[in-house]
Amino acid sequence: MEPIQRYLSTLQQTMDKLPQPLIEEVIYTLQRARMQGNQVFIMGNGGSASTASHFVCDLAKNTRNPSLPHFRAIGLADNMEIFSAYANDEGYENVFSQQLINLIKPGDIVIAISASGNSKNVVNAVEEARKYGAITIGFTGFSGGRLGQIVDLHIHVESDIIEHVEDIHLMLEHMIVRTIKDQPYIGITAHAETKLPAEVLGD
Amino acid sequence: MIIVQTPLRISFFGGGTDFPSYFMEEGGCVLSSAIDKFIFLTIKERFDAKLRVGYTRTEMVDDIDQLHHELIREALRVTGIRNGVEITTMGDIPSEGSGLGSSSTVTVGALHAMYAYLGEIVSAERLAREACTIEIVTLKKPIGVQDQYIAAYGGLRFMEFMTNGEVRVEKINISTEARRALNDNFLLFFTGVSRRADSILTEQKSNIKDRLTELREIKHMAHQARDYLEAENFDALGELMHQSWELKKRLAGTISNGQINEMYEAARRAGAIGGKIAGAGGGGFLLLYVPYERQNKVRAALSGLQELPFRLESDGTKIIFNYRRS
Repeated sequence: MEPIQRYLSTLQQTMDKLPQPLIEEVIYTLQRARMQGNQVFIMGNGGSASTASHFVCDLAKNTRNPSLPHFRAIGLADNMEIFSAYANDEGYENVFSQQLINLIKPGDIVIAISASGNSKNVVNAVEEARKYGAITIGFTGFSGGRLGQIVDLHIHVESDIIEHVEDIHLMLEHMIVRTIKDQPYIGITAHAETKLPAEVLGD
Repeated sequence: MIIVQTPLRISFFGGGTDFPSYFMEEGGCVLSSAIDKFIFLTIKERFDAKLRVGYTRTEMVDDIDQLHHELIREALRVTGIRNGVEITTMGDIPSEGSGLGSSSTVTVGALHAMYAYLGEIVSAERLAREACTIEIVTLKKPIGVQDQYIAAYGGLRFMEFMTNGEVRVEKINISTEARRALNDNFLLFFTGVSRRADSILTEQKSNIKDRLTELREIKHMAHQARDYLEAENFDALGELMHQSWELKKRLAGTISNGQINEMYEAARRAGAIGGKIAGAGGGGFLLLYVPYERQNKVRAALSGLQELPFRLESDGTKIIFNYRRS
């Protein structure tokens, strides 16, 4: 097979294995945070840093709707001054957790992006966030790593090819934002169906 | 500390068809909206292991079983908090007998605040369902199931109650202009009479089997009201409200009384097209549909009554403050 064709078809196979109900759950979780005014922190290293910043941009800007609160999205890989200050003084493994400590509140969401799931600074930040009662979401690849074990919602890209993992992480970001943009009330409360418990119905 | 804001509601059409004993037989539906009047509930960890609950009175006890505020007591029981917290409630309206659904508003708000205190995120659906269980099963209130859903979901909603126990909660989408017209054409007055809904509702509930014709018609009107609303035919909506109120008075003898009929008739003579007593009846708030230009005449005709300006509210119960270090 030609290398380009191989890239595309393998990518397609990996995409087919994405956990769709879990992605929906991430959307609902984000929408609840939006309605309750909670913050959304996003972080990653390298290519994942770029995806994190891209995610912040799209989530903040492209989901705006006059009848709904705006997303309070904050990137942790965007301020080089604070990033390098913590790296220099506290160690690179603390660059994200130290930023979080100043800002995080219970109910906030922390989205950690790490292909290996083992980036020390990302894992530390998630562990810190959990102490504050934040909801944690991980985008990983490879084996999912330590991150996959400690987050509340784990979106695992089943691939050992770093480019594919990063492609799909960016896709996830776009998929989530596009869904919220198309269905602004998704996961909120516009329509609902439920069944009352039998004891309420039995007179 | 956590502060939760939960809206009160106005039930426009269909009230009475949301009793399980009725809708399990024939299905029911209501047209109802949250309004921008709220009950606020705060919850905070205490230094000691006591339980303090503040409302029109203050209770300081060692364990939930000693608590007199039954809605908060049962919400605590459901969420598994037994002591060590301080809870207060504050409302925009008199605490009892308003007809604006305050008991379910408190129950939904209390559950929401308590789950948030425990760090658990729960859906509006679950809050409404658990509030129904607390009020109807545990506390045996003779009430329907619409208030819990509106308090949890907010918005202007058409709700259907199916014979198999399913509840469909549908948001009615109206244009910004239509929303403004609705906000501008409804007036709300406090009758000055606070009543306990329970005795009226108990009578209404025991009458259900003999009032099937009325209930079917009330249900039909709720569907019609929804059509008028979507067609933005608001004066027809007002007229329908008048018919619906005439019908509703037949569900229980205590829903209206001489004093309320007098107020309503005075408002009609001054230009109100339709109206009703909010909620169970017997007192509380009087809702009137009055075209904007006749409103001052109606206000003059009801000059003894306190007016409560209000608007439709789109949000259901929500956490407006959450600060908890642990």
